[in-house]
Amino acid sequence: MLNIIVCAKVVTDPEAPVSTFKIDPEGRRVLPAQGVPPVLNPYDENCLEAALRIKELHQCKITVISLARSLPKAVVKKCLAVGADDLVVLEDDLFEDIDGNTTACLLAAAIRKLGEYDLILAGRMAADTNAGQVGPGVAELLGIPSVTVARKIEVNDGRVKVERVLADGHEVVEASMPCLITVSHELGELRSATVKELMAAQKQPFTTWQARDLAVEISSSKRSKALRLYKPEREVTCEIVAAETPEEAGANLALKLQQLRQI
Amino acid sequence: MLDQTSQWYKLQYPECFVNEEQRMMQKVFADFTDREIMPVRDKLDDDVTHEEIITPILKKLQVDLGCQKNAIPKDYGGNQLPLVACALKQEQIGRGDYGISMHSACTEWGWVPVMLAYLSPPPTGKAWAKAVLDEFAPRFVGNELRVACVNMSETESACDIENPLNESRTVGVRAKLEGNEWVINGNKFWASNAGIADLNCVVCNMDPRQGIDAFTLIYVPEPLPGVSHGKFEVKCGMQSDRNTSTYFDNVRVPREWGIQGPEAWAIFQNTLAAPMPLNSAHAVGILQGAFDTLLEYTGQRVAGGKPINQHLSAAAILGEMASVITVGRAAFLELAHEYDHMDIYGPWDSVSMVAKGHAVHVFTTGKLPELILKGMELMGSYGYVRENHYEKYYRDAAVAKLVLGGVQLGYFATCRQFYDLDYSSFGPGKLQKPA
Repeated sequence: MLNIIVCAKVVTDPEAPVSTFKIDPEGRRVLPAQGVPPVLNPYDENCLEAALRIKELHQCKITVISLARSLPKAVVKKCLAVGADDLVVLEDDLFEDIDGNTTACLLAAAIRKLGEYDLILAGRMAADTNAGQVGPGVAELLGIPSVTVARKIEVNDGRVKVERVLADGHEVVEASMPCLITVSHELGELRSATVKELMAAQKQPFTTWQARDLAVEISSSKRSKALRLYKPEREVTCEIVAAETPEEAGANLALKLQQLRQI
Repeated sequence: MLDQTSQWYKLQYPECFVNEEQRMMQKVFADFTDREIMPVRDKLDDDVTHEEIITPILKKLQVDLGCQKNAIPKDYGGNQLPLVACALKQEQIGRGDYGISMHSACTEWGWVPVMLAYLSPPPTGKAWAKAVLDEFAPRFVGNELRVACVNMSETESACDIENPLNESRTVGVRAKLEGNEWVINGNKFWASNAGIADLNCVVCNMDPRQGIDAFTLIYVPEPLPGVSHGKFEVKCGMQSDRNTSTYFDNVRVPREWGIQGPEAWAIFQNTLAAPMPLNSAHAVGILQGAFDTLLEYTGQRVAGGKPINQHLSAAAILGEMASVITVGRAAFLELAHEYDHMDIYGPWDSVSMVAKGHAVHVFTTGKLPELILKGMELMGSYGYVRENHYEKYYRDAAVAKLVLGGVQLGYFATCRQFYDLDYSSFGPGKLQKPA
């Protein structure tokens, strides 16, 4: 039986209007937005969907690990409702304001504690930081190969065949298991849970571990430091290209773009 | 965008009424509404065939999410959902479109009589429920869209049938036992889901002179010889909710699909009570949808040098809407919680519970049209233009106020808690009892 581990982060809904995004430049932190709900990181939803597709073809157990200072259970239990077998919640006040390296250390420690695994899936990046550091970091700490930005994953005879997204198409790479794969949105959206599955998920027990269960020295694992936090200012200016005919307007527009070195 | 972590949310949906499982479901329904209904809510009324927009949405809600089995017992593969969860669903779907939430709620309602009978001790009702569930539940727990309907109202007797004091004497559809079959004749009118239903719970009477003793509930599947329909009604919106006449012409069904007499009457009275928290939740959802639209508009539109919502006259209207939402929500959640704990609060058809149910229902639905019209004035002409997403709530509100017998019947039922009010349809100056 394949053991698949899915790393899932809870983020503030990235679909929220820009106007709700507030920062504290002095404290260099993002302020909690009013009325914006927490959701599963959309890329992590994609990787859970990847795991579920593998489960449709192979006998396997899917364990979801999620980490935060405090996790909304209704959000993470969605993973159980759609078909994950186990949920491990890593919660501790010490997890406040940790960086990508610390997160990777904690996840790697939790995965080691879980025991045997064949495949670890993570989103290509978190929708709040867009850093994309944690997945490869976990692979590095565990000493296993990693493949990034997958849009399709096939498992066969102890190996994975992965279609990786490139700027101009895709490439196919193979790796032996155990390995870690980061998944991109091209793989497809997470399936919905039915009412019955939601009711069943609510009754399903889950594991909670704190920092002391993982034996990771959090204070020394932080490697990055925010130097400045600011909202980029965008200026939009609009100019109507004057012309007598549509053809003339097209020509004038092309000229203008050329002058601005845009074409 | 439902933020279940905010303080306002916690105050609106307190833990004493809403558990974690129900919160998960609420979130799923809220997301469903935001994703599937909101982007097309101004186009629903143009989909007269239902093929383009409405049926695909209903399929996702009823089949993919599994809502068409919400009122089917767990023993038969159903969800057997508590009333609080159903009410949270109706509120969220109603926020997007009352027609879609009505369609979904009426399929649940169609199963309420047998679910109540199945979960209750009397053996006759249990046997009837088992026969109906054995035959029809497998169709509703599968992967095809199925629709159920409580076929009750008639052209000359709609809220009269819902009036318990009439003891079913105004029911015009006749049922007759012939050997091992029920034979049904007569016309029904207006029921939600009529004409598209796979299964009807038909309200009949064998002999109106005998009142409750001759009262009958019979499940009639479709298509079936002798069952036909009129054209779908064209209404002020609510396109997703189908209404039409149903004609029964010597329709024959097996005896075990029907139940008769006082036990059937008790099941019917409980079935009539069931939608009180649910339609109240619809009403709060409609008002929330209107409020959200208004809040966004008045925050952006500038008049007199400042956003409209900064004018105190406008803020008074927004504040009034928020107050009614808050009180209405508290009321329907409390009522649904009480329905889910019959062992503590008593049966749904008791005088006190009926009074409470109607009191909550008439308050929430009665306030809607006037309040939403007030809000429309803040938007000026933009308010009644469809693409601005406000006027539909005004149309939905008008219908929400009229269902389940209407506001007056609700007031009369509430008065029964305090004194013996006679509001039957029979007596001096009113109808004559069937002779």
